[in-house]
Amino acid sequence: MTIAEAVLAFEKRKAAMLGVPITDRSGVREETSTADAQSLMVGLDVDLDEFLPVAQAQVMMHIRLVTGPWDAEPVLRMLALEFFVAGILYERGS
Amino acid sequence: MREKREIVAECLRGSTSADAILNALHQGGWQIRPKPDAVGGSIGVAVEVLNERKAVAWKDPDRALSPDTDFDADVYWSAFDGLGLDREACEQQATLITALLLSLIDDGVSLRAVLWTVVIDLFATGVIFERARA
Repeated sequence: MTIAEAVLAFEKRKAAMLGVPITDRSGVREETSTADAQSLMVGLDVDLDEFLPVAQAQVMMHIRLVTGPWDAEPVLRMLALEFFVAGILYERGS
Repeated sequence: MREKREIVAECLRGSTSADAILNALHQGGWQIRPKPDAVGGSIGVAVEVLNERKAVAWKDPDRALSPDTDFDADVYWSAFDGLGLDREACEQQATLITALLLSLIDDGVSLRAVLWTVVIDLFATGVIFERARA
């Protein structure tokens, strides 16, 4: 599976949960809840009790960066790369 | 014990390899994990290791995300050495995803929701990708 295929597979899963086609962003929710996060991760065999506090801390750290002197683009780009890699690191250690 | 910053600065005069810098730090007595492949099965540890390597790539082990830290894309990518990633494919996906996330912000979706989306999506995508490769 390529990275693009993995992204697409997860986007399809998310779109199914949201009930919208993946090309239609009109169904994107304003706020993502903990319940949403949990439902998206169902079946991945990831420890949510460990994941959610880490994710929360990362979100708050990056909000501070973007609301500070940083532009959103480099912060989002870093996050996109780093959490993808974090998923790989986690899986290799499991 | 020498300061981390001093060791990193010395290494950068001769090399921009993250592994070389991490090894130098380790030899200097700093407990930096040299190989991400050796990570245990913990999300917290995985993020911590990545942050350590990122800090080295940002030439500042103490303040990895300081806005006045000099950024070098090649050095940044060297933090991912040894992970078996396709850099070109990763950069392409990161660019597409970043553009999508920025468009969500333009559409009025809150920054918090966008950040949650990328943290959850990309972590899960990394897990899916790695399982498919195994």
